[in-house]
Amino acid sequence: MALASQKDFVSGLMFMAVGGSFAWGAVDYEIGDAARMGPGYFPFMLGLILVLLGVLVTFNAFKSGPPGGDKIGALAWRPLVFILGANLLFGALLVGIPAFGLPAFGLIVAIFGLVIMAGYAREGAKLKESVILATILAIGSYLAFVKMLNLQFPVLPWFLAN
Amino acid sequence: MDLINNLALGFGVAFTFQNLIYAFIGCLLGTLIGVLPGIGPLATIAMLLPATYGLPPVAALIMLAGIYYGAQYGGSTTAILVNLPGESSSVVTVIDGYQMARKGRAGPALAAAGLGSFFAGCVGTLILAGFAAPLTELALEFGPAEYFSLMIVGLIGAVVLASGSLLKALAMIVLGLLLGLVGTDVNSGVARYSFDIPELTDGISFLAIAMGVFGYGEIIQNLSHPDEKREVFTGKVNGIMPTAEDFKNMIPAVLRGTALGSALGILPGGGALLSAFTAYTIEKKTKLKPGEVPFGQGNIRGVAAPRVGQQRWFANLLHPAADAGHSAQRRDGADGRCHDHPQHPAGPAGHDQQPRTVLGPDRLDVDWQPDAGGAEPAADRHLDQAADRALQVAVPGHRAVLCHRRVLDQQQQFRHLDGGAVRADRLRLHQARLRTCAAAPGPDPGPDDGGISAPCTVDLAWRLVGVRHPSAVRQPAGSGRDPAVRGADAVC
Repeated sequence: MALASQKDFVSGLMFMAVGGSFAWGAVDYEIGDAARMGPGYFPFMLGLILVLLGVLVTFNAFKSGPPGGDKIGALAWRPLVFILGANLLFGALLVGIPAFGLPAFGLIVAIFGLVIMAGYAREGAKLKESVILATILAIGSYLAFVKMLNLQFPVLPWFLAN
Repeated sequence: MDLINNLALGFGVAFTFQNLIYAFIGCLLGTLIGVLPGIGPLATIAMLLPATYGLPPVAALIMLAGIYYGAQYGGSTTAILVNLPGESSSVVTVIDGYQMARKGRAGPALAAAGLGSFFAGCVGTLILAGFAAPLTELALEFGPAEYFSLMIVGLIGAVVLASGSLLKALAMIVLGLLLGLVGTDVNSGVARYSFDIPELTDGISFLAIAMGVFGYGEIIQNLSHPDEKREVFTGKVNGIMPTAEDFKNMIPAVLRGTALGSALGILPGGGALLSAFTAYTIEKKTKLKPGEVPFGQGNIRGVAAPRVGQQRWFANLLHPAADAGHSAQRRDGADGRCHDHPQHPAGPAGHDQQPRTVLGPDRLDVDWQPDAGGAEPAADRHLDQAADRALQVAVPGHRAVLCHRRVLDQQQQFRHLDGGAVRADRLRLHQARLRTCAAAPGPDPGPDDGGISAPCTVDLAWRLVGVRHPSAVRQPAGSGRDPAVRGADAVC
């Protein structure tokens, strides 16, 4: 049996996986019955429904689809990893992760980390460009968020801030 | 006539040079902050609240309103120009607005959003001024059954809105519902899927998901192309004015959106997003004129209508009399995270305010009041003292019943705030409630002085008609109460 739509097939699998894991997670909570729903009832049922819908989507992927098989292109690993990683790095540097013993580096360092890492999402990225951009962004963010709006978060690394 | 008199009075106060300047500054600041992606109007107000501390009360209110509307518009700007919704209700603007910007028509899109919002805001304010009292009554009638039905309408609307495969639309809705379940369960208090991370007990913000789906998806997809094929936004925004044809397409959409927003805007709670989505759905279902751009590819109607639909709701949100104390109202400034405004502390309207602080007939100087000689509701007793012959309202102490009446969260908030020095001067809940049942309640029509007796316990009792009694809920009242609930019991 040939796939008519690769996209639908994979999205069906995704729905099944997400629905299944939600339903699985809901088992830990009290489920109850329809008249007396526990906290797990609604997610459990919704998870099952999503699995069902995922199965239907997957089956339909064999039946009909646009000509050409509706192929999924290559995954864009580079931007995916660098853009998402830059965001995680920003959060980790901004306030630190106490659980891993990582101290807070503050806003300025976090912005440099964010911009430089996100810069590598593009092929042929230049470090110099990123540093210039990060400097401007850091100054602007400092003025806007810290000076003008008085937002409360660490600005300088832990060893400088007191 | 009262309406016109009161509006004239309000305009008289607002149209001073000083207050207009404050309105302008507020709008400007609001737009500047609201443009930052991810910062919505509520966050903007919270940040800029300290800026109004030094102002006289009326000017501060005017400036806050300006900030609110400015931030609204700022949110739509990022939605149109960079595909990042600044706040949740701009998500609909993203769909067609960004497509218009891609076609070089960012200017008209911005203008359509702004003009539409302005028109709907004016109409909304007029409607609110005229019918605030009956509309509030209607909103208070809304119970769980009505909200449930409304949710169903919203979900069906989402299916209708979807283009493409129905099955996948349904699956995505279920997926969205599941993501919405992350966080504390409102009924049992269990933190679902939080993995012991405190941030997750608040749930995943809608905005975070919207930015991920619209913004990050776009960025990553764009970067996956080689440099030459990439779409970079370098064109200047030129020509703000929409063309005559744009106006012709826009005006019916704006009118439809206004009517819809006025109907849905009454509802407290999740009005804005629903209005925006529904307005867009309706526009999508109307027939396209020959030669018009299809929806989803940059139709100006798809930009104007949702903006209009949501705008009407904000008038309600801003209006203190619309639904004082409802959660939708308490967000700005009274959510426990920000301080009370020193000039107008949060609390029941007028509980400690100077005359002139609130615009309107009964908070003015005596010689300005048309009915100054009328009955004064609480004149015959002290603040904490119950009125003579007041009917006791049996408010069951059970949590489910209190939830039903939407009092529980209020109480919890009061309890929460009791410890803090910030709100020490605040009215306790029972005082607030006594305030609402003033003199001359009961079947007695009251002194025949032509004055209308204040809303009193009798009205409250009528509102309780549909409420579940403790015997009807699972657990008998009296077992396992927490102190906050007992406080409410002592009152009743």
